[in-house]
Amino acid sequence: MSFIFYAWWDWRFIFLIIGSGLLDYICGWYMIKKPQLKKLFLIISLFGNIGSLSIFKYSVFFADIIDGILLLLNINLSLKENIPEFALILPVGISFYTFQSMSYTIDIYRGNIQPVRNIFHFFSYLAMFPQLVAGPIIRASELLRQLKKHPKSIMIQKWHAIKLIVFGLFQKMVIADNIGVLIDTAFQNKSGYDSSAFWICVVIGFGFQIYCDFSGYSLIARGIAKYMGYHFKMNFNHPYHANSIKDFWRRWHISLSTWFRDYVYFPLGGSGKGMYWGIAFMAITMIISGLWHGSNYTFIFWGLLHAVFLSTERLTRWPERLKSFRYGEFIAFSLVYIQVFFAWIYFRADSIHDANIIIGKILLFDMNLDFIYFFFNSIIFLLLGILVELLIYLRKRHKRLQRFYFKYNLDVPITSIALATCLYFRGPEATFIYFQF
Amino acid sequence: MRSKIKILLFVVLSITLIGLIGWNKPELSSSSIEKDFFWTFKTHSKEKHDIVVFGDSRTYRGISATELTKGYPDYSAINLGYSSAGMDNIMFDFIESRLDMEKDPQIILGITPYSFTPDAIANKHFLQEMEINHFTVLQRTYFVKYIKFFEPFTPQDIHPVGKKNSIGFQYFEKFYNTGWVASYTIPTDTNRALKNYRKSFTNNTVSLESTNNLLKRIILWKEKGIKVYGFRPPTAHAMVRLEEEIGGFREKEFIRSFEVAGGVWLSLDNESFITYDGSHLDFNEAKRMSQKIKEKIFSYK
Repeated sequence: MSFIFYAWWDWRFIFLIIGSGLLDYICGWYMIKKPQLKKLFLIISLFGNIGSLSIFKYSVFFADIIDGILLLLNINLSLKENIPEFALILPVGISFYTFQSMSYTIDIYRGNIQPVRNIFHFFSYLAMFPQLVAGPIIRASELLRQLKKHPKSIMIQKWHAIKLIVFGLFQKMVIADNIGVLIDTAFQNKSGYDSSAFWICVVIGFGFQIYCDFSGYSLIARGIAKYMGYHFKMNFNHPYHANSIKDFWRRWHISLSTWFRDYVYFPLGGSGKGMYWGIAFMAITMIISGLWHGSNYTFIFWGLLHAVFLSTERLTRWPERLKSFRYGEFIAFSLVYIQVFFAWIYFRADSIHDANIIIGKILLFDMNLDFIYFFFNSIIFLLLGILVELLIYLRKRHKRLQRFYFKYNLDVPITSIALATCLYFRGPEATFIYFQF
Repeated sequence: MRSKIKILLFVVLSITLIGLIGWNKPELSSSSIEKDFFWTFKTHSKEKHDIVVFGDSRTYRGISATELTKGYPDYSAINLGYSSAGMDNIMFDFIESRLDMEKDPQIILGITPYSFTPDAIANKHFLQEMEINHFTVLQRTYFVKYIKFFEPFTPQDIHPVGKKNSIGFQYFEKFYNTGWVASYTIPTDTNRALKNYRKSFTNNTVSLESTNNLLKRIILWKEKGIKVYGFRPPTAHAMVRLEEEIGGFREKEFIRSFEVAGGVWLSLDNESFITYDGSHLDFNEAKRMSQKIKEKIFSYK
């Protein structure tokens, strides 16, 4: 079923995922059969996965860089024009399933798991359709164990699954897609508005659009898996409730950030080699994480910005210091938002130059609000997104609210209302943002 | 509460809510489902009419086919205007195919300078509608009222329509099976369309070949016994100036050639009509213009 789901997009690329999966399945077994060649098979697996990712995702980017360097030496190879056509198509989900596959072979190498005997279990793990195209990235140890047991969901799990799916649809269709109208118009320079207030609204809007879009997808994936009896870990834990950048990264795209932590940051040395080496390794990890998102300098810069923010936090320990102040928590939230939303500008813009222009416009402090008139609908949904996050934050903080919520089973009417709004307040259809990664 | 009961309650509550909202939905400022049905019906219907109106958006928003035949029950009219429609043989063949040749066939052409440009002649909107697959045509034609029940609306649709302090920019459109789109915006801005038209005419000016092609076609239509009328849809004065300076349209020369070819030019007082965006007439002005055109064409009988 998962392969049919994937082949529906483009049947030709089903062979890529099968080929990539077979390579890792075989390498996994040979790591155990020939332990003296363990490292070699790991390298083959990594080479295969990173190789296919490089070809389909980064060939144009790297060709551009190489062409640029060679031009400085007066050599004109025009590598970019000679890239084969097939390499220009980005197979859906490649960034996710290659990382998932790599985690399998790396975990076998480390002795954390044994290779799976049943090849169908392996491919079910690799290509399970709820999470195949945009994550969450599941660890082999978590899912293979579940696949062996052939779980069936009980009624309470089905109810939780329904809630996850409905809330995921709400985030994606109601919040993200409606805000998207404002964001797309602004970044295509079609709005005709340019005030600082407009761009601040756009930046905050994008922050909520990408969060709700991706979190929505993850919730739907988790919900479908849960309905089938499988448990996927949370991928987003309300990142805009974070009171430090470190806390933000513990809440944002958890499956990817923990992947980079376990398979890049820790192998490099982590924080075990001292503060400054720790910062250097963290910066490398964040830059690679930025590059994972796309072959553009804007993503690398976005990763670098977060590296700077995390380093500053480590060196100054400002989140801990702020706790002792009266409004310290509020200041902490504000600082996190400023940093995170500032970085989102680079993530969304087409180029660093465009991002700098937007920042320039924001710094003019022109508070003309005429755009509200035109983008009324998008702004209402942005406010709704903010309100929902605020209510969830308050419910978590105040036990009384929590007790009230559970005592009167408010999840039932709230889920019904969410479903009805998905139907009647859905925005114009838009692809999931993370499909492009 | 047990999960089974929760799921049951959720289903009942959801169906109730969806039903309540569906039956009490506010009137949409512009229904995308009605819009789809409108274009599909206009393009794929085989009905023939005595009077066929053709042109671009100024025409399909500017002429009410019902007003055109009010008081003349023996006549039927259809507005076959399309967005950015161009004066090209593909459109001429199409409008001729919808003409009832039995009684008193008439073609009314809304002449805009843009409709003679290369971009317009490509007739992308019309071709897009023609190329819709059969299943979608059936879906849009027969299932529209069921799909409409689930059509989404926006917060602006909830806010009372037509009030002076209406929030936000709203584009109101009502789609009629006779091919007219009754439109207006809140607020109006007679300069809104100017910027877009300035861009539209960049490297895309009036083509002499296209105007000559139309004139040849008028001669052919006349030979077949079809009466051909032409008019320039009223627009803002700044728009008229832009179309002539940048677009390269010479109205007086064109009218002369049009009449020599056998067409009847219907002069309208541009200054007496008000547009909502500098290019298109609102629904009241469209009705008024349709009445004026009706008076003129039926005075030629």
